Amino acid sequence: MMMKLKRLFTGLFFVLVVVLFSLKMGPLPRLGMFFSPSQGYVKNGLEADETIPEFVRGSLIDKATIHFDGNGVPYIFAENNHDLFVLQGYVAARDRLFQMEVSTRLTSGRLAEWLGNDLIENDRYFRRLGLSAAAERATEKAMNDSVTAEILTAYAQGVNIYIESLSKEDYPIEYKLLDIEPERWEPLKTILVLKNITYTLTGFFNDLRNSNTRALFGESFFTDVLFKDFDELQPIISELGNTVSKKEPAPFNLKNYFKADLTKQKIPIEPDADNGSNNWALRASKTKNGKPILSSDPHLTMSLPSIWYEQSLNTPEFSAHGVNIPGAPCISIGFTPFLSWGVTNSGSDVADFYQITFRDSTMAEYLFDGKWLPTTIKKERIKNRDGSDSIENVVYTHHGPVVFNSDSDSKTHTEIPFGAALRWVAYEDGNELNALFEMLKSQSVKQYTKALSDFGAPALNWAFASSTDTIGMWVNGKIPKKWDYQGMFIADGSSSAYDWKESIPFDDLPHEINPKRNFVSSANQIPVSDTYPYYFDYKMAGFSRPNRINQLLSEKNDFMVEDIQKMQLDSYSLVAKKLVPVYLHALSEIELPDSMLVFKHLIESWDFVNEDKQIAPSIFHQWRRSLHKLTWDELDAVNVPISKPWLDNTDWLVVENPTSIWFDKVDSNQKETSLDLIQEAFSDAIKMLKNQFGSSTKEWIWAKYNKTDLKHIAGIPGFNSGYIATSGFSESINAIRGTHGPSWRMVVEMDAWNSWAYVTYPGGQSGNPGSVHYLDRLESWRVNKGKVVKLYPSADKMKTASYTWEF
Amino acid sequence: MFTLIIYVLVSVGVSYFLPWWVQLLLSVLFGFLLKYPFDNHKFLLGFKLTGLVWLGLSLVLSWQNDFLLSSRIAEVFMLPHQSLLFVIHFFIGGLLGGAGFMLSSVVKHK
Repeated sequence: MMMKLKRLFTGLFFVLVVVLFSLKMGPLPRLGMFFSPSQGYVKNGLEADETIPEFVRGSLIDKATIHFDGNGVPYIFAENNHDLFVLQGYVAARDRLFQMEVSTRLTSGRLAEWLGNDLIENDRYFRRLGLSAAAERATEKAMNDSVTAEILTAYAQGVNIYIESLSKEDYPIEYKLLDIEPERWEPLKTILVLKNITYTLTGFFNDLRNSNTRALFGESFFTDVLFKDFDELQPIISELGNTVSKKEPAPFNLKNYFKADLTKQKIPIEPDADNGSNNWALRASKTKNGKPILSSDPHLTMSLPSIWYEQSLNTPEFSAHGVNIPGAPCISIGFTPFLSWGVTNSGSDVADFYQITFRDSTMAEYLFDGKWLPTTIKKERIKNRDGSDSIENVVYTHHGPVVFNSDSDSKTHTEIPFGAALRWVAYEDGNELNALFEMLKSQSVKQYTKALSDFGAPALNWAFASSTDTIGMWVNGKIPKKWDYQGMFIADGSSSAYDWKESIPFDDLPHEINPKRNFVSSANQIPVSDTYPYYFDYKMAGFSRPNRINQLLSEKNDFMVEDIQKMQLDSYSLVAKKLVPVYLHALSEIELPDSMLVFKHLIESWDFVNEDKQIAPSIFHQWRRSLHKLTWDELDAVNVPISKPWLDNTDWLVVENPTSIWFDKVDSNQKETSLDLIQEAFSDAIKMLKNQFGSSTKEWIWAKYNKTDLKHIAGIPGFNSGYIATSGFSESINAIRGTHGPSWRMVVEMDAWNSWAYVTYPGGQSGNPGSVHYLDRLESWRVNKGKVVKLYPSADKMKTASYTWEF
Repeated sequence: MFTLIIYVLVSVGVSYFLPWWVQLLLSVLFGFLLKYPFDNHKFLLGFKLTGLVWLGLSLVLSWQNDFLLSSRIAEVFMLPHQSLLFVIHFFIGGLLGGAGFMLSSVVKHK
């Protein structure tokens, strides 16, 4: 009997061990596999990557070489485009497969089937947004063009060679942790990666907020508050050519523009007001070496693995060094012997909502110019990880998809108006890949700008410099011609008056080549002055960053590459310089207790640099925020999504209109002005700092306030960077705001084949948290001491490789 | 004793190259071969030996990586100290060896 029990117990125990170790339980990986020395995570720590993948050879037409430098950056030398893109796909997948898959699955709404049912709302949102359907159309078009078809097919082939070479123990660490499998790469997925970029840079849906704001506060709130900016703001284009208006007469103005129903939707997440980037270029006459210099630092949410993947691409036809988003072929930002270029977001409004009048609840027909037009319905099947699935019926009008009909469609993304169709440039079949490829091959500014004209979305400000001393700035992309304020609010979807017609022709887009000041620059500010012939909807960045760039660039004519490097780290705040005297003046009107005087003195002696070790920037920025909060107390009671004023708007009111009614507090009987609020905000700010960081002011240093900590894209806790001490802020050139900031820093000196650059970025080439190349660029990025990169006409000219693959 | 040494050596090879469940089968097999007198302690014996094999292999492999990845994985599992990660390795390897030895021991002694 005892023996029987013992055997039963032992048998059960044995089965329990097998079950426990082979199943995925909750958030835990399969324990047996994950901790096994042969298959588990420890395998991911081994640097087996350096051995040449012999099996790639069979897919190449000719011989090819890849040198890897000390940071694991590949320099690919191929004899033809096919081989080049096969190898580009292969190395990208080797280093960044998980990131590539997340990007495509996110955009196509296919995360839940991979990572779990809790991502279903996210999938529903992206399916209803229709990027997948748009990507399918764009892929079909790209595959009908022999050049883009070759690039897309070869790149996919390279990725697939890598995926097929993997057995389970070789899977990247995230696949083991989350118990997922890689999926075959297709040309469609590359197009999805490109659509994802357009989503990131243009997917701000402000129409509902704007409509609500107008309904609640009237048109004057826009003209007197939201549109206000300091007069000193310098637009991107310094010399406008043609200023004869080509605007269509506006059928409606701010007053009689269509008024959408004020919907009771929840307060959404506010758009990121401080997204932005810098780029500038100097002509030879502005530099000490007499060679043009180009600077580029695109600001994005700095996640891990790094957003960008660095590489050198070489065929007998072209040679280029730069970065791209993993999953996309070619190079987005970089340089060739002929040209260098960098981009910033133009921020123009290329996403508009139209309120639809349906004939009945079947939504089969909608009203347009007095007629009932049929809708089409696209069925989207969303799969879950547990095997179940659900169907989303997305109604399409000629404008685009009706993203949400009611709050049953999504619990998230409350900036989307119900029953409105979205028209968005992301839905158009662009030719962006071809544009990027043509840029690599361009040997003249003429060829380059021709290539540029093919790049539709997202709209970007392209700064470029040629070895032959031509510099330029082109605000480029598909930007619809609009009448004043068109598309700012939810429009009437039943009237063609609100429809987009053609786009601003390429040659009419704001641009300048070799302007008199001998430099070009952009920092997401308004591109043009009011005399520009077309209407330009825009709201992105204030005067501080662009003006500071222009100020520094105007100061001298003997710039060295190192000066520009230093300039990218410039953390000076023109906003602080403007506001601090006003703030201090307000404080001078009252008696401060001794305990507060010390903080006032810190501000008085501040040099307006948002420097990591200083305390003054923390006090100033908290002060500015507290003042902003006190000023807009009127908005606290508003329970629908509205366009809230930005800090910039409050700054303007404080300086230019200190007796504005907005400074008067709702819950007091007196009439307050900006002076009263500045005083109150000062003590609020000090209280906040004490609460948040403790009473020891040592803990208040700017680096701790503006906490930089790069997060892993899947939010896996151990894979983050940890705290990094940084200087700068969104209004400084060094626009690091928390985890948002310069995702790539490049300074190029253009000199044909001797062109070279300092480059660095937050993170490293490898997406593997166990690799030395996961974070090896971080410190060089923090202090902006990038490494020198050059161009090589052939593989044998590069002598400094860390290891080499010869195919 | 000789069988145990062979078991450890084969386990090192099996755990280094083959999936985790092969180690489980191996311990069942060796459990049959063992002529060890203390049947009641077979679980502990298998547990200690196999646990040590897994611990040793994980330590060597992590050391080759300067413990870069293991320190991150320890954070993923929210362990207060990295050494606890290796305790998990020891424990999982141990359970495989212990369960295998114990199973064969009860099957063998009718």
